[in-house]
Amino acid sequence: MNNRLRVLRAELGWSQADLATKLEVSRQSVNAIETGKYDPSLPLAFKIAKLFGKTIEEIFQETDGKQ
Amino acid sequence: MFCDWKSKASKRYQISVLIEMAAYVLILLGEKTLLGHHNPVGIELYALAALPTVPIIAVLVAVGIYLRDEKDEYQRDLMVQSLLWGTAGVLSISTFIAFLRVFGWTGSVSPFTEFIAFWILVSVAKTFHRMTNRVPTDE
Repeated sequence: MNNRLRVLRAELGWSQADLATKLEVSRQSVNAIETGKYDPSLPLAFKIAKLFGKTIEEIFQETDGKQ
Repeated sequence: MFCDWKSKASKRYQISVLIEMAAYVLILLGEKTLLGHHNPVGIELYALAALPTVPIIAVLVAVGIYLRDEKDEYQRDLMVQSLLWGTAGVLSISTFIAFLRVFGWTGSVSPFTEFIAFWILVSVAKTFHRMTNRVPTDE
């Protein structure tokens, strides 16, 4: 799954640590999501979407045929 | 750079395990001293065998509580993966030893080997995860 987390975060001038604090997760988790190493659960995806004021589909995109 | 972030659940888990391990060592030392003076039988023997088992069970309960309370799902996922590596390793070792016995090996394995091997393997897996999940300097 691809995501625009890094771009959206940069637009708001947030560091990974800032986002991690807002999401109440570790920076390791934010980095793992941004690099596509880990796909968040639906509740966390909703939390991220709400934080950025976007829908889940605007942040996360399915990778065609890869997963 | 290592990520040293620790959740409340993680801190509680580490403190709990430290206390339980300290209790385990104290109980073992106490029992060793006691057994140097007399040989227990009957209920006393069962009680002395059960006593050091309590902190070991408490450690397993602490793992369960951590997995229930950890809000960071990625960290929880890494812990579950580490526990699975430990379980897989111990089952593989046990199976190997069982086959050795079937094929005529008469040696013995020290008591508690499985439990110690389990935690060593879990620690190795956790270290591996920590190494492979190092986060770059924050932007």
